[in-house]
Amino acid sequence: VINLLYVEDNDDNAFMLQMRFEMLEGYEVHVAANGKAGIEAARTMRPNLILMDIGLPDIDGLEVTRQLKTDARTRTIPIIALTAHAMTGDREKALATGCDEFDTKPVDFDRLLGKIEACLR
Amino acid sequence: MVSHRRSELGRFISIQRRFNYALFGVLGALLLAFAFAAIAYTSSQAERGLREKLDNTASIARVSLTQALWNVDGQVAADFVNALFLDRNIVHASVVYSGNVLAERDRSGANAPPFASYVNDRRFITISADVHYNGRTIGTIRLVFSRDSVREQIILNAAGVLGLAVLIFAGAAVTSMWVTRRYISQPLRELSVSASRIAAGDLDAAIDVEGRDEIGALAQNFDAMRGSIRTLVGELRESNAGLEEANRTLEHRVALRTAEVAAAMREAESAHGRMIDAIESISEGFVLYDSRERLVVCNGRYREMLPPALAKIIAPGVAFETVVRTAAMHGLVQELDEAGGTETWIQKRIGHSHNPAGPIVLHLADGRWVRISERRTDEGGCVGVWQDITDLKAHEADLELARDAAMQASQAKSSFLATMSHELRTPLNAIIGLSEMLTQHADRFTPERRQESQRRILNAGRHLLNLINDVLDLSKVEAGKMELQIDTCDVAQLVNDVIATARPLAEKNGNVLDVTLPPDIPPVRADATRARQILLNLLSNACKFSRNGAVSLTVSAVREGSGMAVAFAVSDTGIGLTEEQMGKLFAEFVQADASTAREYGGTGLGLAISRRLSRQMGGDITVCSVQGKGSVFTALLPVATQPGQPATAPTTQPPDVGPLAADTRGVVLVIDDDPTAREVLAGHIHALGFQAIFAAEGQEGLALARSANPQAITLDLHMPDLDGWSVLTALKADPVLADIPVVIVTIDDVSGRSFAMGAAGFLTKPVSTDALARILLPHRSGNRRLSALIVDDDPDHGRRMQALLADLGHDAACVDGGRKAIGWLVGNTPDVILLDLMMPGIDGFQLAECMQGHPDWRCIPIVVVTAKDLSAAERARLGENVRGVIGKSGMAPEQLAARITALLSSVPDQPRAAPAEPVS
Repeated sequence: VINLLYVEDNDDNAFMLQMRFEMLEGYEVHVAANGKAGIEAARTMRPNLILMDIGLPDIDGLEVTRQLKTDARTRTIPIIALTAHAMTGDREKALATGCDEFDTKPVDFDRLLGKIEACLR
Repeated sequence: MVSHRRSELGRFISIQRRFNYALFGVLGALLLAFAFAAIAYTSSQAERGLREKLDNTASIARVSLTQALWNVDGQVAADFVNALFLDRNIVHASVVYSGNVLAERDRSGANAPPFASYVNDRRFITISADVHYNGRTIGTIRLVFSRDSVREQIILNAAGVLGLAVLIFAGAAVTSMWVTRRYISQPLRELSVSASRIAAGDLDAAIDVEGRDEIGALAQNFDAMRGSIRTLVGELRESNAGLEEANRTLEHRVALRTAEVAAAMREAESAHGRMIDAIESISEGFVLYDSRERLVVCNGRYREMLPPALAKIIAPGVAFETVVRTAAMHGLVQELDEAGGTETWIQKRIGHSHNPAGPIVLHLADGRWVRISERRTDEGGCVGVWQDITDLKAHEADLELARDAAMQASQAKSSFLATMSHELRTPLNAIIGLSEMLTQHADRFTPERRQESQRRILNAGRHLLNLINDVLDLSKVEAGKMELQIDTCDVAQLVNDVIATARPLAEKNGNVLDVTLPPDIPPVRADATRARQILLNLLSNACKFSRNGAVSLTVSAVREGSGMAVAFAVSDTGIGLTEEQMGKLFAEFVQADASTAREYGGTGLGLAISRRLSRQMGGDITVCSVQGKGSVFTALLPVATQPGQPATAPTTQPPDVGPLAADTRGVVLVIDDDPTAREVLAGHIHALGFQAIFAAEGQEGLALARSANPQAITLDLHMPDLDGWSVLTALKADPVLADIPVVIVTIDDVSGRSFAMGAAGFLTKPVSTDALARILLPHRSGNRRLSALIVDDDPDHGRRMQALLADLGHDAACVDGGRKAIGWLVGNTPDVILLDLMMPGIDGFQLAECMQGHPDWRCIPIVVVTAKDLSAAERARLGENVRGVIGKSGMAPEQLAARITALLSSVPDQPRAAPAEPVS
């Protein structure tokens, strides 16, 4: 079973993605609704992979990524930025901050799965 | 000429005469000598002949008579004597024998004298010859010859000689005269005449003197000389003529040259005049220094551009360094400190003029900017061209602002697009994801899950619709395409409609909704739908950002510019806004915080739309907020004025404040180390209706001043820990305390220094109540409600100040420019004016100047509110009524409130002729 942490403040989006992984076998999705909760969850549950929304209410998703990537306990966890910020430069910014992959909303689920699998390999 | 020479040299004697005189003299003398010699010779010859004849006769006689005598024959003797007498020269002849005259004859006859008488007579020659015989003298013959024949012969000879001499003389004379005349005199005369003619200038007269002699040669030479002279004279004449010609040419040239020089001088003068005119006519300042760095010339524009203190010293001859130094010493230039001090600046400035490298820009103390372009001249001087670039600078600043604004707008647009993309993608993500699953895996959905998914799709779809509607609304308003149905709206109905919608929103977050709607609120002119949209936007925002708090809507009528408005103030107890957020809140395409918008929902465009709508309806929305405490959003809508029923100001005018009771005038802090002095001052202060608090030391005084916020401070100078000057300096350096008036109370007269350091008053001990009253009474405070006029071209800032003053219990009207302020002042006299300086049209400086010139306005106190650092000259320009300066930024609202309170507390409550009238 692959443990996914999804840091997402938008309830509808969290619900949607959770549902999608439920329909697959072998994925367990945990949702954190803001940055602080995301960092906390990453440290405690040590997920296999983190899906990171960027626009979070308390701490920016990029800042959360930076903190996780500088923390020895969470540094090795691959992070895929999953954001509605799809303008030029957003991808580069995310990768530069430490994200391993980047994908935009609305989510192309098969593409996302491919990226997840690639990150986990 | 000749006669002149004659007279000079004495009597003129011709050469001929001189020669003849000399010749005649010599010849005469020679002839005379010859004549006399000849005469003498012939005479002696005659004498000798006569004597020989006598001797011969005697000899003959002796011979002839020897016999006669021997015989003593008288006859023979007599015959002999007679024969002798044939010679006519014989005068006497006698023959003597032994003393007896044997014969005698004498031509004189009988009376013949004795022989002896002849002997000594010069006329006769005598001879007595003895006749010898046999050696014995036998007789004597005596003969006398007359010398007459000799004399006759001599005379004849002399006559002949003389006659010859005379003949020779005459011949010689005539010859000489002829010769001298012919060969000397005449040629010389002719020569002389010719010479005279030559002397008289007649060089053509040939000298016609013949002769192969010296004179001829002389004449020829002379003639040759005349020829030469004539040639020479001819040449001389020619050269003279040439010279004269040259002279005339020269004179002509000189005349021409003189005329040219005069013309050139006139030209030069006129050129100089033209140059001065040209220099004067150029729009830039012009100044020329010579190689010794002395001012040569400058134009009027240059003087105009100089500050008056500097223009005074500008005159030809003034040294460049003097000019620079004067400018620096009088603080006429603003960059002194930046340049590293006055002296450094002076040296830099002089150095630049020596070696100009590009133009320099000076910021003068009066706010003007000048660009100075300097060039060295070939003669080592320096030309400066001064250009007033104040407008250019202002324009530059405007351009910079415009550019910044454009860049911000562009950035905001990009940011808006990014945000919009994000905001659209977020609900779409849910919609697409969920509907994809519902389509692909419909069989795997439980009914509950399906329902949940469908509900979420619907919500997200609705959110998208709202978003799109808001964007469309905003773009319509932006483009001015929003069509409004402006009509008279009843405020109560409007409020009730909105409250009905807002109440559920408030309750959703556990908020209490409180509405204050006075009964006499006039109707507004507005589009009812849009007015509802605005109020609902404000109320829903308030409800969203407050949880378990209170949301209130307070409606009031306010004076708005020259008219009336209804203010709908929506306050919440939510998270509030930072200063920065407030600034951006209404800006196009900008949300205060995108994540906030997500947390609290909404598109984040509501406020931008609401403000634009309200402005389009003649109103506005302002905001006042304290972070963490909540915000107040106030929508203003103009009052609908109906004919014959002018809008009126709220009937709830503040009651006029009566005479102040004791203890309400405020607190006076007494800083003095002497207990007796404190007691005395306390007595006076109480007598004036103030409370007194005390500090015995400087530090304590400063602490008390901060904590007690006194109305005024009295300050002793001599204190043990911190002297009064230091306390005063510390008070004036603290922005919160700086405006508390400080009265110096001391023994020495140091009033000048006191006022220079910012003291409001100065008293020497012992202090009288009256003297203290004069200083303190203008500073008393109380519950007095002031009317203030805010003049500010930035409506946001004006409203903020207005709200702040309202919170502090004062009335404030706000106008957005100097011109409107003057219009407002015509009907109203405020207690104080809060004046922004930099405004388009009539700016703050001009308004202050205008007020100084108006009898009713010159006493109105002014509080300057500006973002500008004021120079001394600018302060002076604002006049004496400026109570203080409030910086436009960098002050928290509480701090600002404290500062305004302090400044307003110094506003005197002087009696005024006309209190503020309601605007009709």
